[in-house]
Amino acid sequence: MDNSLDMLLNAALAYGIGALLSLILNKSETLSIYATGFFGALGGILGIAAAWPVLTGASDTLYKAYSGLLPFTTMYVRMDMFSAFMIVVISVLAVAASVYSFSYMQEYKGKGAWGMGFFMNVFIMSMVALMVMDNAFYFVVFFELMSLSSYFLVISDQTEEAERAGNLYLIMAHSGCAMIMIALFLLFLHTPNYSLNFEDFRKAQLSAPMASVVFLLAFFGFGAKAGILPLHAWLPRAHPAAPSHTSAMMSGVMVKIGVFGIIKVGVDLLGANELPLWWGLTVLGFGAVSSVMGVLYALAEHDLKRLLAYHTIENVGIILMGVGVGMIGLSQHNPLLAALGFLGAIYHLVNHALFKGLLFLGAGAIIHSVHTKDMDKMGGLARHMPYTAVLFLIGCMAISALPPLNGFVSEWYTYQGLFTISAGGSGSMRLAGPMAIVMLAITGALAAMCFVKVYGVSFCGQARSQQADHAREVPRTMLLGMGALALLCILLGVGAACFVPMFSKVAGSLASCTPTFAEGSLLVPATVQTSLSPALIIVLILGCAICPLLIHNLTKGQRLPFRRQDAPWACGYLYEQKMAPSAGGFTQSLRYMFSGLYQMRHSFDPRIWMSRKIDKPIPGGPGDSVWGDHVISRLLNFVHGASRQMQKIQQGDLRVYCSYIVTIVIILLVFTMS
Amino acid sequence: MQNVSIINFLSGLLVITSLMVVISKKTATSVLLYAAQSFVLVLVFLAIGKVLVSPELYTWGVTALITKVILVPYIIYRSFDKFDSSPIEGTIIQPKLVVAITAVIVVLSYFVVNNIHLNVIEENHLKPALTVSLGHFMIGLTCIITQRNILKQVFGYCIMENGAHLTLALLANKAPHLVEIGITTDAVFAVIIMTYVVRRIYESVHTLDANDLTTLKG
Amino acid sequence: MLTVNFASCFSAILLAIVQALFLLLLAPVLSGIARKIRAKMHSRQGPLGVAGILQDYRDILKLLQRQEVTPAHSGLVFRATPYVLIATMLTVAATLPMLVQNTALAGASDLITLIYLFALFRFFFALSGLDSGSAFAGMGASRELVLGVLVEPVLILSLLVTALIAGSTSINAMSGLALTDWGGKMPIAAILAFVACGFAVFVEMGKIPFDYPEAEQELQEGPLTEYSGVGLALVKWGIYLKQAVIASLFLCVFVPFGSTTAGDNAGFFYLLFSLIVFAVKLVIVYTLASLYENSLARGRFLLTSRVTWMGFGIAALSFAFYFSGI
Repeated sequence: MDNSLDMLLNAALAYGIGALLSLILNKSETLSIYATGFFGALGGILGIAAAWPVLTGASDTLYKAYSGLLPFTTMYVRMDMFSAFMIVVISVLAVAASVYSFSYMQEYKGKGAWGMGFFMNVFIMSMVALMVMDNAFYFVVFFELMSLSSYFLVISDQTEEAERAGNLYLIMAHSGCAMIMIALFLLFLHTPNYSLNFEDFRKAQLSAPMASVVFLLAFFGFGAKAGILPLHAWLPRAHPAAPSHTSAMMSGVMVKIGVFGIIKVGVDLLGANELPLWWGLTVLGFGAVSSVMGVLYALAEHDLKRLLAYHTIENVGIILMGVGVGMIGLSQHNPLLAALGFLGAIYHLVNHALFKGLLFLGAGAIIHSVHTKDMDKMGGLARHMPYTAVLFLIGCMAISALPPLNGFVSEWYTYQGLFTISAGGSGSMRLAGPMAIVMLAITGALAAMCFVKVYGVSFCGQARSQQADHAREVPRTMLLGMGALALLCILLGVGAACFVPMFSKVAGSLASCTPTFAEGSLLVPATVQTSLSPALIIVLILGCAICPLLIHNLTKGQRLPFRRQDAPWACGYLYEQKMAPSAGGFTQSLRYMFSGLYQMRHSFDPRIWMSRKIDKPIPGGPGDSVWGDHVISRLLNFVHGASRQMQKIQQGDLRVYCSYIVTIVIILLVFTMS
Repeated sequence: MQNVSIINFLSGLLVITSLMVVISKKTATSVLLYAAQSFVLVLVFLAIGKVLVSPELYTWGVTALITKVILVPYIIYRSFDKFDSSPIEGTIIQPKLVVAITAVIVVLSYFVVNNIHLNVIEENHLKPALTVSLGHFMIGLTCIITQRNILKQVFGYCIMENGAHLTLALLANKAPHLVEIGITTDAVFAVIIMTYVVRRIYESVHTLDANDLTTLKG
Repeated sequence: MLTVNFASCFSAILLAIVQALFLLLLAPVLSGIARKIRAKMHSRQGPLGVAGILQDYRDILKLLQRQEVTPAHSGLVFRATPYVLIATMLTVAATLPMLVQNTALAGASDLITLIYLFALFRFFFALSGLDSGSAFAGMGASRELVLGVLVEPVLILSLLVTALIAGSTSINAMSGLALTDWGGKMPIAAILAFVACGFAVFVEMGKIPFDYPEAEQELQEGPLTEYSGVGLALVKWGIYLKQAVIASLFLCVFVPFGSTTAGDNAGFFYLLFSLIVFAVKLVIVYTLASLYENSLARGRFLLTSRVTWMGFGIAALSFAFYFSGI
């Protein structure tokens, strides 16, 4: 069955042709936009067709070698269920973004639309190719290609802000890539025959500390791409700078390459080694912190696209929680738990691609009509752009994990995975599970608040600016792109029972078991006695809505008909538009309550310490008495400082002395534990 | 409920009462709560005595009833009655933090106790009780660290003591009478001495606020 | 699920409808009771006589006959919200194991599902406030959501401990455990969870110091500002229903005594009996909540987080006890 791989090659070719045509047609940008869009969509459809048989299990894992000029350039291609799944996700979003781009890119005529088209298609192609590479050399090549092409898309606006964002992105992407390369190199050293093929990596036997080093390098390397918390600073700057359909691809899919990489290295390539518990706990912890902090920072934003980018951090965090559960399951030799965790992760992965794609495309539609990213200049768009408004609302509800949409179903599985961890196992698992559950719950509540703000401030009420008052509905192709994603959001929610069996197979392939997570119309977590039926929920909600409608109609009697009239109440004063709640005011009380967490934002910003290191004068200039200034005075300062510190210890307060005792006791206890 | 889980149940109550001793605003309430806690401790002694079949614990329970439930609270109550100025109240950190710290302490104690393997504990599923006894000790320390009123810090000592007693009852329940009576009366003398010291401090510097008592500071 | 025959399926649906309508009809009475108690404690007369507890019914009926006028710029969300609110809460009411243990609609009565259905309610309630364009409604919407953020951790952690003791997040299992063996092997943890969850429920019921029912124009009920006529009647009813539903959830998880264990095949009189018992339990919960509420002072909203953190501390302690096996 080489058919699938050939088809995939065709898909890559389609992207390539689109890119080249766009380059050739730079004189006529309309044509280049159409060429990019058409071949992008074609490539996406071919990609889905190629990966579908593998995903549904109709065909086994595919493996093929294409020989190159030099021995190490032999290209090994491997498509297993997980990579097929990723290809489908990328392709679906690529189709939607390409269809959308037909009209959207018209805005960019004369601003280098042909170049953006070129890089866009190269970007998608490199991601698709990356998924099937089974050789470290090509893996890194395509990884770099992906980073570089997206870098050019980030700086496509050519503004100073975009360029700075691009530079930060480039630095972060390459430091990440460097770590990945070191990890792959370490693996390479441990292969039996010094080969760069992943097939040989899988057989590599590493000592436990070495395996951990490789894993951590890969985790942080790919984590930089995924935007996990301490390495996230580039993401909210770079993603919004690109054109909206590219932002959709970057936020929807590119960050998932990071997640893919973490799973690839942690579960697949290091599969021959014992997986220690703390790997899973680390992933879980970083995921939980990323999710809460990501959404907290998003709340403080009023730039629509940057807000969405912060939500990407949050959702990657949620996905990583699922991955963490999966890895914990593997370490406990509990394949069912592992499969449940991975199911939550990959389900949320595809969901996030769909609703974040939808929201970024929606943001693009707003920018298309209102020409601003600032939410406080929008308002009242629901009346001018009704279709966009409905689609955007679906996206908002899905990302807020409201039942019965898709975001809820995947978070439900993640909750169940975490619950399983909490219910049994070692002490650290039983402690980590509930903590993660609470953080997930806070994330959910904050996300709901954030998207009430987003939808409420930009689409509801009265227009906040002249442009917003003259906004027009966007062209059909843009609506089509968004509509397809919104439809999928609903289908994957309400019809989850149809999709879960397929996803379970993918999750099962990662955990090497064949679990059943859906029984008929019921979704079951298999490890816990409970169930969920999104279809039942939607039926119940719709059924129950009959009741208030009946009340409304039965009491009609001699009641006067509904009407809209006049401005809202303003304590008897004349209502002004400025009285309407703003994006900042809406979250003011929350920012006050969580002010401590907001302050941490600066300590995570790499630009601050980067510039500090760079700005520091170089010591040891000419005429500098090195000995006197650098050794003696430092020594003196040290002694002086140390004695100051010693003075602090001698407080005179009984309680302080007691706290010393407590500290010592705790340290001793910790020692006895390990 | 079986006998074993009664011990665990009561030791859980111990933590809750000691937590309330720490966060209660009025010193008089703390006295009452402390007496209640000691009563629970007596019940724990009796329960352990029954489960582990050690009659020594019954006498220990009676001694504890006299000393801890009646004598110690009475002494503290009387001594604090003498300070007519309104006593300094409140903690240096908020009660909600104390509750959170207690939760952390219990979790930490669990991890410590988890590594201890003793037949008498494991056979009777008494690990939770042992966890509590350790945690209790730490809660007492927390009380000493967080309170401003030095009289309230005496309660911290008493809570620590109760924790130590629970540990003893669990691990050394077959100890002879004399040792046990010695230990219990020991507590009474300690409290008497401490309240005396508190009174002397109050007479000389006219304050019970630990923040003001830092003359030792260099 | 798939093997249930037609008759039991029918009876399950009938039971769900009975439950939902029961709560819908009882909710205004319950809030009337709370209103009466508040008036008495303020040394006011309140709605007159014993029939005064039906005052909320009279209000709703009157409003239902009035025209609905909304601000000129309000949109579809504003219009749809009253229906979404009632539909969501009726959904929850239909799935709770209120009258019989093991409701057949298990697919929607999972703990996580219920909490997120409450989030759906909150989402639309707050969104309608923003859609009206009014400053007060927007402020109320913001407060409603902030309270949600503060209370959600308490609610989920306390219920999680209960779920862990029961071994499942299904409300049926949690309710069943409370009925047969309250608190299971860890009664102290369960008691603390009970306290923390009671606290969260108290907040969710919209009580002082988290809300000020007499000043509904400015505070948590702020999203109501621009509603009028039939829309206002439905939103008000929806809020009463939500309070009753959250109290019912609490009762189902912690105090399920009185509901029949016979399943869907329970006889009519059994069901009637448990219906009456449940109503009595709800009245008791409302009475206690109002008594406590009126002994409290009103606090500044920005300091609410201090109070809710205490609730979270108790929930955390409850988990610590569960963790160490007490």
